[in-house]
Amino acid sequence: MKALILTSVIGIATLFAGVFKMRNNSVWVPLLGLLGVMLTIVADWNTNISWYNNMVRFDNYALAFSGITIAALIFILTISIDHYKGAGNSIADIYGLMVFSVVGAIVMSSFSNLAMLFIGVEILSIPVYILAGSNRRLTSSNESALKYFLMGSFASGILLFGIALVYGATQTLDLDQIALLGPTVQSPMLTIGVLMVLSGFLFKIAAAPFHFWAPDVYEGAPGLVTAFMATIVKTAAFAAFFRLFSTAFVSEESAWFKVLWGITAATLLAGNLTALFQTKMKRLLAYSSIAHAGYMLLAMLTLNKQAGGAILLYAASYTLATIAVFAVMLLVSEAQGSDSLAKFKGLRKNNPFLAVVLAIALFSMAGIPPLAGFFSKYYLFAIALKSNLFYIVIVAIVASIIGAWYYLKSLSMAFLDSDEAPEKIEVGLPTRIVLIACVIGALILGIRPDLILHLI
Amino acid sequence: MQELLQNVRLVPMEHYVWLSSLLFCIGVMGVLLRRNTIVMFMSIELMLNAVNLLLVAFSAYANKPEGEVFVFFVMVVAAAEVAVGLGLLVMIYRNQNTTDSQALQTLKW
Repeated sequence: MKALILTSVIGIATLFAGVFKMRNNSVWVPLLGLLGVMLTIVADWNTNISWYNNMVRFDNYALAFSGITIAALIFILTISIDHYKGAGNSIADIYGLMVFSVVGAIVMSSFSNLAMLFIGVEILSIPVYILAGSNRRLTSSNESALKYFLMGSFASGILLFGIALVYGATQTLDLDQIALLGPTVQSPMLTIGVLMVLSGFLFKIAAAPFHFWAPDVYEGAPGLVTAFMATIVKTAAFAAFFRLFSTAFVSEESAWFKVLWGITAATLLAGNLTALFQTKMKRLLAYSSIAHAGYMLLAMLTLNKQAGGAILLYAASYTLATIAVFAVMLLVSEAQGSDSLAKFKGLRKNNPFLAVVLAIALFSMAGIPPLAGFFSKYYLFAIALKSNLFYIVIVAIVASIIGAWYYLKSLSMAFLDSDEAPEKIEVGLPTRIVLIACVIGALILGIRPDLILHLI
Repeated sequence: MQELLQNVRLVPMEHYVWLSSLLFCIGVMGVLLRRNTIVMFMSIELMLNAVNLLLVAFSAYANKPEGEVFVFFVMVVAAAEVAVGLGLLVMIYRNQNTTDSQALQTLKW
């Protein structure tokens, strides 16, 4: 709860930093504040208190996922120190919106009432609609914002209708009571409601066949915002998804299990296969994020409480790798004027540091040992096999082989010799720190995955 | 208040469910079929209001206030969403001089 209140206060303080024209110094308000929030999360560990008549409950699950989103925001804000150099006064608004969005992420990982779920989803989404359009004069940014807005509010509408039907069937919004009453309810409204909540979530996490908006939105939004959407929004959506379906809707398993099974397979294949044909880095990362959502959906299928740890590990390793790739991509596309894959050709020649970071991050995404990506995938597959999900694991393994192909393809670009190799790119100290932290994080989680796996 | 709830209960619950499902479907069709973005916004509002109606009906039948309170939250969220959405539209109109959704198709594949 401290984390939630403190983060909201930091958001307001960041806006005030903008009012007082602190310009580029305004980043320190959220940055230091969020480090403080991390401390409160550590202090609250193992307390497991519910607040306000069980509207939110800060158990270890909630704290761990809030911690990941806040850490990701700290990384993104640190990169932004270099990236937004020379930007105008409105920069504090962007920071403020990012912090407010993370408030939504905290609510989404700690809710224990369907009303809080809806509010969390909206607090998370509404600032991101604005952020996606924050490059006001660029048509692609406008289009991205509008598409995200329409798809996002459409999905919330479906989610909300599902919540209303579940309320009608069980006469309660409380997760624990829904879990208790669920098996006794005969009404078809509960089944339909659960399926509508499911499809609302699938829209939000961009699972196939609801993924068509994601590549457009990711490509059009400003790079840093795309990194925000690919990491924080996705992690928060999964935190809420798993929290809801592993507690309240377990009894309705017969209704959603087969649907989710098919969607997981479709997401894994659609994401990875379409990524093969991409020529732009941002779009490739968009499809790869769809594919990674597929792996995380695999854990949802197990209906296993332990799967929470596996999702947490996967989210952490995915976040580290994604932020590193995005940081490199931002630098290269700024220097080269485009994020096309061809512009990465010969990156190694003049920028060995960036090329090595890119290599480690992409290796981690592709799931090559000893990096974090390998072990997080391994645990997901192991848990799925333990629950007798044999066929879907085979699909996932095939998908990850396809995935390795395009990650290595884009990586080979960077290590090829080329005459048009990018000039030496200046990497500022803050970005350098983030890149090194991501690489070290990927290595540590690869060697000691149990650090995170058994947290919850 | 009790009298009001009794009046709500004069109509069978199924009717509320069907009516709001119908409104919701009209909203969904509006978002999917219309090209003017302002009409699409209106359709999303219609979807949310269908949910509000459903929540109020359920809450009157269950004789619990949760659903009615939730409706206030939904209204606030809907207002915030519209504020952002119209802001985005104004921005787009300034750049493109149109609010037709077909004009925004630069991002593909």
